Amino acid sequence: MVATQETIDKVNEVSSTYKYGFVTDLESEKAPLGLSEDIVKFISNKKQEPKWLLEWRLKAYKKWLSMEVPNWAMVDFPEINFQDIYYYSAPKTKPKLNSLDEVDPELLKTYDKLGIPIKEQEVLAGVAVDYVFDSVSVVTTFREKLAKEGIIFCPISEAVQTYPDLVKKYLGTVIPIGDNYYAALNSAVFTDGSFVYIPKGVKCPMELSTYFRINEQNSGQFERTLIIAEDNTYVSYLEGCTAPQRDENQLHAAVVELVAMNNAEIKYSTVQNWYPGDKDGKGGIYNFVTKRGNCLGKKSKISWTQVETGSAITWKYPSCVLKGDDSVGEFYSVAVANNAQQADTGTKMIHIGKNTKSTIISKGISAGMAQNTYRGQVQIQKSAKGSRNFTQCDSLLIGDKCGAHTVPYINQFTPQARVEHEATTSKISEDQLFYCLQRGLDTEQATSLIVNGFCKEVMKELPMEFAVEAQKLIGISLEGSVG
Amino acid sequence: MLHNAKDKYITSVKDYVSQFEENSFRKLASNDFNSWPSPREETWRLSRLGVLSRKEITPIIPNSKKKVSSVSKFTGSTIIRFVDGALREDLSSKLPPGSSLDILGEEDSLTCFHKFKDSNLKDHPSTNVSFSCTPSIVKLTIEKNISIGGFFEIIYEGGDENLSVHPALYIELKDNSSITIIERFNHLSSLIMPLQLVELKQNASMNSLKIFNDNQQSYNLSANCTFLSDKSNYNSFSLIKGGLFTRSETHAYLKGENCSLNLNGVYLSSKNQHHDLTTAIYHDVPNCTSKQIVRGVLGGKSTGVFQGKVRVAPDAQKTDGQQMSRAILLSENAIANAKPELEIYADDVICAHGATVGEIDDEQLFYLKSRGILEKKAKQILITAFLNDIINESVEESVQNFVFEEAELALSEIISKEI
Repeated sequence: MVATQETIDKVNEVSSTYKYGFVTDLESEKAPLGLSEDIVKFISNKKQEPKWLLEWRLKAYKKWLSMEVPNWAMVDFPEINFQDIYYYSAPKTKPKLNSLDEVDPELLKTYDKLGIPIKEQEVLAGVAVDYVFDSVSVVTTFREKLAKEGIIFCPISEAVQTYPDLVKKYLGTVIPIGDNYYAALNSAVFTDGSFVYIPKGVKCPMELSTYFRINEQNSGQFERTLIIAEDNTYVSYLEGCTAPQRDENQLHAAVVELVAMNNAEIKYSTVQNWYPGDKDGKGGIYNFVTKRGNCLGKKSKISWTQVETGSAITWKYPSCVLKGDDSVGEFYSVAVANNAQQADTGTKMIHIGKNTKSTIISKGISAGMAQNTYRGQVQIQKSAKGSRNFTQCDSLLIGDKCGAHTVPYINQFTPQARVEHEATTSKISEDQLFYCLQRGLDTEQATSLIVNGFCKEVMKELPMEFAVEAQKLIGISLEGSVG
Repeated sequence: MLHNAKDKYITSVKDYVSQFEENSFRKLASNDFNSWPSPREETWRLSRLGVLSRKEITPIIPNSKKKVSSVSKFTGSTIIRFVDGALREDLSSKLPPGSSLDILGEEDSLTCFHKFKDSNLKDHPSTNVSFSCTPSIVKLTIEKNISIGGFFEIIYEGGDENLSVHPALYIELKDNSSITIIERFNHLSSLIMPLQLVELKQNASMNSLKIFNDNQQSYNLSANCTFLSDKSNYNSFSLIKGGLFTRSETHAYLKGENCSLNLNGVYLSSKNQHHDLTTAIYHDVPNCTSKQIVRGVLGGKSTGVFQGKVRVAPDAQKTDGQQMSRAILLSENAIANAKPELEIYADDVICAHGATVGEIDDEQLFYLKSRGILEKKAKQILITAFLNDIINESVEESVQNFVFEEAELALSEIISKEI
């Protein structure tokens, strides 16, 4: 079919030009190559961490040693040599800056290339940005404004020093150190990440945002994010990623923990556009992320929205544990996989409290030779009377060399609940295409329109402040694959 | 050396085959049986066999004089009886012209064994154990252009406590033939491991109906491997109601274009029963259709499992694969699990699955109650309708009443306790 061939050509064309492929020239301070108990101690020492945290890390490291690499996901990649990775690298000058002017101009340039003019964001969007450049947070804006409300938004390494009680109380409570292989690894060697604390009764006045950049060659990124929302609060957190082009695979194993108390709402949005590798998948980033939210309080709500367009391999299951009665979990996902990309992503909704509700909307788009898997679990425990789940996962295939897979698990232990799951897999319907062509659109426009419509349910969940970049990022992938 | 009970069954299987020659298919099969599937294995995660390793079971030596207790439910059907897993020609009917029943020799058995071992049922415990211990592999052949009117009724019974039975049936339908087969599993054994290989040649058509109604203490691990050639049609319906643990696993390979497949099933579970319908459909060539409807009603402390996988190979374009599973929980202590799975490597396909788990729909119940029907009766009506729907669609008209009755018996037991 002509349209399909055109699409495939487009895919090839775009795949060779990764827009955000560049390396910033910054001197960095590295830990020796490889991982050992000493490296864990080195990291902890570098960060001048309290003893309890070092012990916690060492415990995680021991646990990690005893665990096996999970192999159930439908992804295929060469074995990772964990001794061939730098576990710590930080920009050399430790910045303590009052304004953006004091920031290393090299860094600012990097962000400019990414299309994130900090000042413009400051002024126009009113977004507080906590940049993570490699592992050390470089600059935090809007901290004061947030502080007025009593909101804490800072690098987690700083929180460890300033708010040790809070960190100690919640760190690892949602995702225990031994939860899975990569979470254990992260717990042992995490370098930095964000810490957010919303005190009782506060609605966060702005979207909180962190841009992650992977910069140092061969340095795995191990972010750790912890968000705590006390009673009657609201916070929306945005996470976006782009990474420079390079040839060696980079490992990224982040952990994100969310805690929502009574009547609290956390909205966590991600746009991920890491380097997916070249046409054969060489050089892309391995993204093995553990994300989980605990709806501890009554009527609490956690909502995950993700737009996944990058990475060579994505292994990611943002989940909700719905413990509080009447709590709500949501998962909205668009995953685009192109060329040799492999994505195995989905969610888990564990219903424990009464009348808990969850919604899962997953849209997978596969093109080129990519494999895109939705893997999800909905579990209704005995105590979760009156619970409700609705799951919809749709897959779109573009080209005859790619794959789309759906692996849902439904486990229900009580009759007073209802779980519904539906999934479809198809290509763009000839009828829809014909309809558009008939009205004067060319094939590419038509395809683009249809695919955008296909994702709309998820895209509309993204916060306004993020929408522009999200569209830009997904645009790059979609533009390439469909028109 | 002391053996634990787990070793005992494995040892007894090895003992059973020790009398045969080294290159016998039985030996080859037994070599691959060294443990029960672990719950870490994905397809056995929801249906665990741990208990079996603690039981003391040995493969049965069939008693060729044993009297039978199951009676035929149909007039005019061609009856084939398996007792203790062995074919009893003396108790079976005369076959209609164009059909034949043979006991396979060593060479053909080996071929049959390899067909199983080349499929994804290769590691199923029944594959390895039953090829080791079956009294013989029985082959039913329907010749070219033969369309058998009426139907075959295959009755499996026999076995006893602490014994395992291993009936193995190979059904071949040659070009343009057709048949309807009703199979009834009424064993008394602790462990039942039936094997079935079905090969449908061009334009052949088979209706299969299976009623699993073994003893309340039995474990039935049925393994079925089906191959479809061009334009063939396989229409199957399983009703699982008996046994303590019944798992019917069917793998269907669509090897020829324009074939169609229906793999429907119902499980009715009460007390502490565990019922599992596991299917895998492999669309290997273009232009085939597969459809699956599964329904379950669960009471008591029972567990229901549906695992259905549809795999569409690269280039299997124009595939239409549909799957729908629904389960109704009637009891606080019942558990429903579903894992519908799509694995798709071709783009020009229409594949969908749906799964729901829940209780009886409130609105439907309200509708009936508002028309003066008592709640208990209303629930009965809704559950019966829930099943009739699928039975009407999947089962040939002439046997529908039989299936309704079979389902009714199990259903009334569940309903009487729960409603």
